[in-house]
Amino acid sequence: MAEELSVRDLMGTFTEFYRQFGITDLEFKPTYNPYTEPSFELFGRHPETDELIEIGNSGLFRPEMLEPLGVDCDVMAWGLALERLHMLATGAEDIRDVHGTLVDLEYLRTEEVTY
Amino acid sequence: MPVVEVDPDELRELTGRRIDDDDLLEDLFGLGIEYEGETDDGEFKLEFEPDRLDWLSVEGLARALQYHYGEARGIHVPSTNDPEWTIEVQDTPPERPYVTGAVVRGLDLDPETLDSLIQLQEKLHATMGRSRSKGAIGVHDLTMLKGAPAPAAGTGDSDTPGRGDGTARGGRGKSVTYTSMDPDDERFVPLEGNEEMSPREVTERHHIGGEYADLVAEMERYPAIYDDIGLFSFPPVVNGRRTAVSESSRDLLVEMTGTDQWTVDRMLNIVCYALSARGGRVERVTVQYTDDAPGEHAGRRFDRPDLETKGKRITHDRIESVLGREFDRETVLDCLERSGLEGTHETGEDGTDSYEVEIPPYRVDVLHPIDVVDDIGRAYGFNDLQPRYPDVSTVGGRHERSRLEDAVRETLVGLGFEDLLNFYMTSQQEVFERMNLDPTDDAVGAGRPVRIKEPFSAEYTILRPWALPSVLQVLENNTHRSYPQHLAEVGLVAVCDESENTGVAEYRTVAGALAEPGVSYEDARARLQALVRAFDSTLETPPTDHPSFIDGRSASVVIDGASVGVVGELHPAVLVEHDLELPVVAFEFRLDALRGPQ
Repeated sequence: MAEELSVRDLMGTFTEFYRQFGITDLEFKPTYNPYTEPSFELFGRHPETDELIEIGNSGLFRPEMLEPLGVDCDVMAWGLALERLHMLATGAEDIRDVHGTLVDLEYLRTEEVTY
Repeated sequence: MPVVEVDPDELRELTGRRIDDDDLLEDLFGLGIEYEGETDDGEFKLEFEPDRLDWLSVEGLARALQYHYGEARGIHVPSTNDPEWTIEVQDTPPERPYVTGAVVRGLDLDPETLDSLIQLQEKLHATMGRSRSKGAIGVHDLTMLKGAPAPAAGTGDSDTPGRGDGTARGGRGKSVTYTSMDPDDERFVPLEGNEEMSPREVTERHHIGGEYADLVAEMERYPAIYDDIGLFSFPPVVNGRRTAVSESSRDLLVEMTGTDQWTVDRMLNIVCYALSARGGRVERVTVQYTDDAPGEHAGRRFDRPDLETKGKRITHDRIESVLGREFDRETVLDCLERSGLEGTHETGEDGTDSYEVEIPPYRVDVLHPIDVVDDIGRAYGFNDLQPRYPDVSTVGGRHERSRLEDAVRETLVGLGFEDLLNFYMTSQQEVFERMNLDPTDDAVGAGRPVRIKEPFSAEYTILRPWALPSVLQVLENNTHRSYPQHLAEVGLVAVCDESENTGVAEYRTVAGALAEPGVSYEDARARLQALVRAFDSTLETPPTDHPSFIDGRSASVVIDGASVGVVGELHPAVLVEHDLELPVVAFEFRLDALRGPQ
């Protein structure tokens, strides 16, 4: 939240965030959310499968959202997928090895901890 | 989100541009449309967002691309001819009072056009139409209809828009009637059927009828549309076979019924634009509500489709501040035109630059000027904007709850546990039956779970009321891995609770299990003791009964005097159920107990 935020600030925030994980090919797809406008889905490419994968959703809150709350500022909002980030950052291909009840203990015990 | 199948060659043909698949997909991505793969016939599967419902057909998509490439500019409103047909509205079921319609003439319905029309209908039903409950479309071969002589124009106010004024008058016009019928006293041959049925039989026995039977189940009398010959449509369930559209149909009657006039009118606009793009000539239809028609339009008369444009005003400053860069006026006007909008620049008395923007009638998504800025951004190309890190400095910090969670996780890892992250959704079976627990028991983990109303999978039907079952599932799925397996999870659980504002109590829990030959109650108790001591709290473990644990080998977890969980040796029935062939001791308690005396 700040006096003035633009879609460029939103894009810059994620470009920097994902760069910290070695993801530098971020793409922004305009999308629709009822509560933000403009809105963007964030995409990155999987290092092993080369698939373009959606890794988050974001936007600037609509004026109709902020006015009832008395917020006279611009507000960026987002929700990012933890497991997809993990897949892009480590090349993991099956997230069920990492979390959930189907997790493979051998994988958890031997996989290098990067972060 | 709706996925529409589009033949790329047809799209290229309608767009009038030779463009290879990769560039086409990139341009579509820029517009906000995601490629989801191909069908067996080589059609693109494209995923749409639910705002641009006018793109749900190959015609709409071609229009978007033509604008994007600058080959089409500004507002396009198809011209409409004066109405010949009237839809009389009387004695309709009060649950479904509204109707709209249009006539489209001179179509050449080749198989692709027909497929596209059917797909557009389906996608509009699925989105704006709310599975036909809010709005349902019926398309009929006009030549198969016999209009009754239209009565003289009604007595109500005319809402006829300014484009043309020759409303049908008695003697010249033809009419159909939207009304209601007795479910058992009428008979007709439904679409894709070959015998006469009563409407009730249609809802019971016809393959399409059965699918939409719920929509009319509560109605005393069913919706019906008649022409001079008889019943030809049973909205929103199924059309009659007599007026079925085929490749030889040239003139169509499009009718839509629903629970909201605005919705059916907008759905109609989208269909009219698509048929107009296929060379059809749109002819307005008069909708005449009788004085005692149910709903809020009794006595009124409309000409439809209503292709009036709307206006929005946006300041130049707002465009620049949202998109984060300077634009000259020409670029803004160009971007508006390439979005299918039309802007007029104005300078206010105080010197403020702004634009009065005209919005075409197929746009159902433009609510606020900010939506126009989004269009300008898409036309300019969001990915052509240079990202910049915001010039805002704040000091971040972790939430108290996260700090506690992390401290507990770290301590558990220090005590030799492997940290897990399991799903919050699971099934009744996992948390109760397989744990030897009954939801009505007075025990940790019991209670009324939060149910998912329409679960996607039988494995995920509730939110978990406790976390130990998840940990046991991990043990169950890893019996081929080496032991000891000491597992723990700090996570969320939820249970129905009338005393909460939301009706649901949610809290964080700590669950752990030790699976190892020769392990016993004391091993779990010792680790629990060490954990609790690390948080300067006291632990007591008075004996208790819990159906998941062995009697006499289980205890309550009492932290700082409050009973907050259970610890013990798991019951053999639970172990057998999870294919575990060695003893397991386990515990679970509320995380907030470790906050210490406040």
